[in-house]
Amino acid sequence: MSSNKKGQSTKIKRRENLTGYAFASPWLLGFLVFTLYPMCSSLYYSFTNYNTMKAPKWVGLRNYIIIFTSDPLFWKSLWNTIYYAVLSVPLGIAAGVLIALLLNQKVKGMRFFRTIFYLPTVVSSVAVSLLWMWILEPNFGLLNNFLKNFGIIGPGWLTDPAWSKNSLILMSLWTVGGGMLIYLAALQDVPESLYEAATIDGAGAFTKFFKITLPMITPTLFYNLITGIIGGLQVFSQAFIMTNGGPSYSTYFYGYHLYNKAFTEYQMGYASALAWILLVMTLGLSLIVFKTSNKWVYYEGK
Amino acid sequence: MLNKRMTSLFLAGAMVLSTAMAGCNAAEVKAEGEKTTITYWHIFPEGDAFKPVHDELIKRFNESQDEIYVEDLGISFFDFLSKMDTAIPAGTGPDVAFMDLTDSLRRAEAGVIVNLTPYIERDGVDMNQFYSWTHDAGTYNGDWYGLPYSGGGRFLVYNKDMFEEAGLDPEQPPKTLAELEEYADKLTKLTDDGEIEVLGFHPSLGNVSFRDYVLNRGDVFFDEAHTPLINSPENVETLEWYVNMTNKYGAKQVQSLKAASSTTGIDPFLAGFVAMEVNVVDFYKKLSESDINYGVAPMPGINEGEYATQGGSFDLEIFDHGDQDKIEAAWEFLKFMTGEESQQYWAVENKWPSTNQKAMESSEEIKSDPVWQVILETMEATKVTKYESTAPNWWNLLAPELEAAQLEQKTPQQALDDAQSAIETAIENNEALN
Repeated sequence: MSSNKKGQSTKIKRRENLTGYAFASPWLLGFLVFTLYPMCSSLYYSFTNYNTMKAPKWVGLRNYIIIFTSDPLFWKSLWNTIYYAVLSVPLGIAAGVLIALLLNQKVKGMRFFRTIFYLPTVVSSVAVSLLWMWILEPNFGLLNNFLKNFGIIGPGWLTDPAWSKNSLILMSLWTVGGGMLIYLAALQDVPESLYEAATIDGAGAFTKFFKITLPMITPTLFYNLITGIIGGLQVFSQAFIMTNGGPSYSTYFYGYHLYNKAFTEYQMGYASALAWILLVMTLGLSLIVFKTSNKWVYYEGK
Repeated sequence: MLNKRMTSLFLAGAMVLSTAMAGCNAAEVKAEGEKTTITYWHIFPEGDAFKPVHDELIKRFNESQDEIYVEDLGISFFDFLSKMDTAIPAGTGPDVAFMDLTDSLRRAEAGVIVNLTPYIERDGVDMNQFYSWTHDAGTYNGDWYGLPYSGGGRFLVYNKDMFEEAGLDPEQPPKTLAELEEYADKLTKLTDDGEIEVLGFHPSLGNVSFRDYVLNRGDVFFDEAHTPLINSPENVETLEWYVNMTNKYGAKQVQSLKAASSTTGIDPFLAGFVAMEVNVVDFYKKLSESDINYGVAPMPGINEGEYATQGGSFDLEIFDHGDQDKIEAAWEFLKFMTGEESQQYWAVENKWPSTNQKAMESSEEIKSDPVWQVILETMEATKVTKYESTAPNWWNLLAPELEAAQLEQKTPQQALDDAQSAIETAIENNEALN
């Protein structure tokens, strides 16, 4: 009796499993064909010399050796990318939190402002880049024209190597709306009672922010930091459209180097090796952030 | 139940497949009187200014044929190469494509395009109808992999009204680089605040780069043995001149002028920003449609009459998909498109010079047009930089160093030394991988 019952229940379980897989199959198929397969083949190509037209030729670790020992552009682009990420990620987080704090006030027309701040995130990065080319244009661009009113002669934002990276970082703040929305949700989750208690204890606005708000939204900060690092290391399209990596390699990012190797020099093997190095670096950084997270991320109910 | 359903599904699928395969077989067996259809991809999409003339040529070919039909597809120039790059390895590319003659070796080395030499010899096609520099650009060990379509070098365009305003004779354009500089000084106009209103000349505004000035002096970047000579004393001297001319009238302002013209996409000569500019010879069409009172002249050289210009050419190449019928059909199409009659029609109607010398020199319209006469002269002085298979990306490594020299972050000597060593490293890496 009991064994029969058991058999029936596993049967049901099996069928349920099958149904589950059937429902997930469109995603599974997409994952296998469009993610797993390309990833595996790029790992294979990274050990070959492959120019897309001839069959790939196995070269062992040589791509990796060249990258680390005799490709000055690898180091240059890596430095540019790290510079970009180190500045743009914290700035983006700070700006996002700041705007979220402002939008968390109970003011009229808040929904309107929320939409406005989120809008740039929806616009394609190509369109945004073209728009910013006009803003940052040194002669008749909006920004320099505005500065002229104060007697400041603005720099060649994108044409001066000392400014170009910073200009792109400044531009990246344009899309903080995406992060802002998540912070806003987190801010609204902070229990009102905590603030009330703090007010009774005589805490000021700053104390409340640093002792209550900030700790309470650390899980969100943590999430945005991870996605920010990943996105920051992949920066590409702005430089591709606005500066072509120049002037004199100042905006030549890692993604740009990879793109150049793959699609202008047709060294797919080399480019695949670059991609895997980036993957390992991203994983490493994410792991470090994860490891430190228990020191600063506060989860409610723990 | 389930099994039954699966079986029927499988059977249905198999039936669909087999009918499709039967269809394929039917298509492969060419019926009597049926035409061989070949596909042709080019860079003239809907709305392109050069498209009507190009369409007309394809139409003429199709009407002249009862065995071959050409199906063409125009793709914007900016998407064309990336589309080809994905189509070639996938084997879904066209039978004929409009490509760049100077890098046909890349595709020839990979074995994706057809060596045309046997066909040229079989049909006795006279390759001397094409300018001699196309032979330098397009042959490898004496073999041709594409037929030159159209192209050319560069010329100097100048604004006659600005010449007159500056007290210069509009019929006497500069003949040497020294004269060019002297004229540029006179033509440059500053506003009262010291901002540039008209720039006499800038060495990289227009369609021109450091490459042109190196070839112009008769110097090279690589010797015959493919050894890089980037930092030769001659090239350093050329770069010194180039940097000086770039920054002579205020580096910052010129930089922003350049940025403005690339942001707006407006040619600075056509916009009336510069009085003299070097541009490609197929700029003629745009010039002729502008309201600027322009003149054209051969590129000034170090000494009068001693000059060369950097040129390039498109070509038509046949992609090998293993179907001999299609290759033969494509070959007929290539001969038609690059022949004297078609090329003359193309050049005259589109004001886009042809690489077919015979077509250029036998045209009455070209003979009677002074601008065309300057272009003809320029065509004779055209040179090419060949595809370097051991360092295909050499220019990408050199360009940022030139930029650094122009921004005065590096001396010309230092910039070219750095480029030289970067290119040498690239060649070593290339050898290590092959």
